[in-house]
Amino acid sequence: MTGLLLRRRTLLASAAALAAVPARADAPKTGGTLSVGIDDDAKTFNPALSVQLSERQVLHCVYNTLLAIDVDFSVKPELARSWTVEQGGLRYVFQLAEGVSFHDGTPFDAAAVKWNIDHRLDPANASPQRSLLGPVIADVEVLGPHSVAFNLKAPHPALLSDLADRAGFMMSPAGFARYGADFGRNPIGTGAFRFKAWTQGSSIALVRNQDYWEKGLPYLDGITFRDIPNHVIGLQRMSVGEIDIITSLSPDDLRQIEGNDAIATERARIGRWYSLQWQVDKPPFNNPKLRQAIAYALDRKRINELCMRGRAVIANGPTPPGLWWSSPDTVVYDTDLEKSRALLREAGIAPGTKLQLSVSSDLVLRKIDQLVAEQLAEVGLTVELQPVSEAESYARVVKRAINFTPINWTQRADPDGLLFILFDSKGFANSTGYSNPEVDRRLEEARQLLDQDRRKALYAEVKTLIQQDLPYVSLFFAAEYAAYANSVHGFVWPPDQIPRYRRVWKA
Amino acid sequence: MIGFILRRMLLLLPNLVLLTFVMFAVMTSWFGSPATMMLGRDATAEAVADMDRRYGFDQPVLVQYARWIGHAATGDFGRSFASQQTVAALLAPAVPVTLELSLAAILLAFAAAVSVNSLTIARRVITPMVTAASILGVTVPNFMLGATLIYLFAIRLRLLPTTGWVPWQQGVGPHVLHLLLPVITLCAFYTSAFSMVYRAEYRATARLLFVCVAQAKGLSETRVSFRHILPNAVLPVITQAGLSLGQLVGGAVVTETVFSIPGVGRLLVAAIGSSDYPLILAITMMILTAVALANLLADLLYARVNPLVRI
Repeated sequence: MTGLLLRRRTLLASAAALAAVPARADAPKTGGTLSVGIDDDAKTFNPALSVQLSERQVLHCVYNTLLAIDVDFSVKPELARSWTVEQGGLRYVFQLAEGVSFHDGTPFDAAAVKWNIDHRLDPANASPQRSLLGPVIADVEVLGPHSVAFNLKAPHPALLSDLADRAGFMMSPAGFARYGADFGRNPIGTGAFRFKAWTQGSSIALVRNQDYWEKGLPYLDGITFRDIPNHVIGLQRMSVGEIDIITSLSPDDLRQIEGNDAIATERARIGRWYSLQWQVDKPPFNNPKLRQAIAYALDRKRINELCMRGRAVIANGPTPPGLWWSSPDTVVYDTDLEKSRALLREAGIAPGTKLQLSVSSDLVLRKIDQLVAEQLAEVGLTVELQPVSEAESYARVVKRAINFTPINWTQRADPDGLLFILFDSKGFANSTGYSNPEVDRRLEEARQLLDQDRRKALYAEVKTLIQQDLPYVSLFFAAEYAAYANSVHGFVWPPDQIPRYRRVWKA
Repeated sequence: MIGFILRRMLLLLPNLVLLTFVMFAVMTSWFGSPATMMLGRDATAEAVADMDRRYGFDQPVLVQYARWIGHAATGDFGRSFASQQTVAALLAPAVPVTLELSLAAILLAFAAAVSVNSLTIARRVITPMVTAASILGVTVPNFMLGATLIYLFAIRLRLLPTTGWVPWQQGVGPHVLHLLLPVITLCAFYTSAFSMVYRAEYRATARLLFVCVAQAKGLSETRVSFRHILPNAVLPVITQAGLSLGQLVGGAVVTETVFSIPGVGRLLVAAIGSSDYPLILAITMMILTAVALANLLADLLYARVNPLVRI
């Protein structure tokens, strides 16, 4: 009896082993359609015009970028298979992949690369990327069918990561000639998926590109992006199997699916930087003692507990740990109410002084506002909350119509991408009025250096300076999650937080 | 009759001009230039200024408005700032969706309110239940009802799809299934509102002499109810239905957002989110025209049902 049972077990086990050989658990399976839940506020799939974050994951399916971002933010080849830096960083020469064609059959070559960059630089096309590329690129030179050079106005190492983002999406010149302004509804790239249909505000359908140049990819037959009005409904749809994957979830969203074995979650490696910003060149925040007093009055641990269920990383500067330019915290403002009150006295700020803090409809920012108001009341400051619509909020910050506001920024693949625009006195996103020649000098030197260690040292000094000057009060690096059905494999989530689906497969 | 229709349509024109001008002025003063929205967070001051020049956002409101209305008068509503597509191309697929949803909801609400009440008003036991349901229908907000219905029928019972939209062309069955929950959500309020109006009118009519005569003749309660009271009590409901069409658009905005339906309401929400004036203005004009047309239609229908009105 026992012997028989044993034999049967052995038989079963060997049968299972046999069956497992052709289809190992980690061997990707081809076929199936992935259903992705997104907030479809997409306006256009013309990468030269794209602004919305929701558009970006679709763009990465339909198009290839010249270069790509790896999971550690390093730059790796995509359409450009290799490159050399010449003339001390003034000239980049790229060797392009051969045998690549656009979905409309036209070949992808050096001329197409030149057309794409020229298209973005032409003011007539009103591309938001012109402000990024214009000051950097002198011209693009076709050296051969698969060889192209970028001549720069000044050394700019961040060019590589720019070409792994929106500016690097290669669209079909013939396709644009055909559709013109309607290209945004009829996008044509070289990507792993072709654009099939877009029911604006409801769904976006993509199908596999049978002639995709990366052999064996993609695994999926298609992807359908489905609009979800909010994460609660999105996760409900996931629990009934209508949706396979949702990203950008908050720790609070996860409560709904905790304990559900059919759904897996993954945390983003690098979370968004949340902070408070103000105008340091205007009263009342032009008083450095007031800024420090507020930094000491905040209890960031409690803010983390209540906004992020304690899962965020407390921030003491704009750069999270885990990036090549991350550096140790040098200036830290731990909660110290006595010190805060003393600083307020020194600053000559009377108890009961009123401050106006803008409050948007974003859930996390609203929570932060309420906690800031509560915590500043402890040291005798009265915070009045001023409502502003989420959509208008940033436009008003840039116009400097809002003085004191919570804000968040995603990390860029190159430190210059965020640090220069926010903290250099000439940075275009510098809405705080911050200007420190010491910071400017370091940022301007670092953006032209090719030596990464030198750059890292300069950015560490910048971090110390801005923590002392406090144009922003850092709060935390958010905890953000992706949730997907157990049948989904091969999901890659780079630190720019835009999901890539080329290697995703469904069991 | 034709003169009457023409006069009503002519009255619509100044209304449209006034409304769009007020909206234009409010939007430009409150939102400011849409260039920052269009360029996103990577907008430089220079790029914003360039965009302002290109689109004329830096010109006085009156100039901007005059240019817009000049084009609109010729039927050219321009291109959406955000997507660069023509407003007409964006609206074309959205309008039939909202029309279908709204008409289905209002017809269902009308039919349900009139028939249920005609059937049950005489039966004492059911009356309080219908009244309670009506109060509930009027007070529960749209988004709440929508979410509850999704939870009940799609998540718990798994009878219907949660949200989303399947066009007719992709199958009539799935189309109707996807339409059910949003239509019920949208019509709940109107069923209740129509119900209340109809009940009051029904009660008043039921006391009239001709009803007594009908009952004295020994006609069945159902026959008296449907053949004699209904045609006389239904008029105010028709007026109400016409007037409701304007509010219905508001309901459609919420319902379309909750159910991810690609209609005009969802489009309007997205347009407001990105300060897309051309789209916002075109949709507002469309809504106003639709309301005016619905009121006109209600008046005409009213006249058709009750010849007294025509005098």
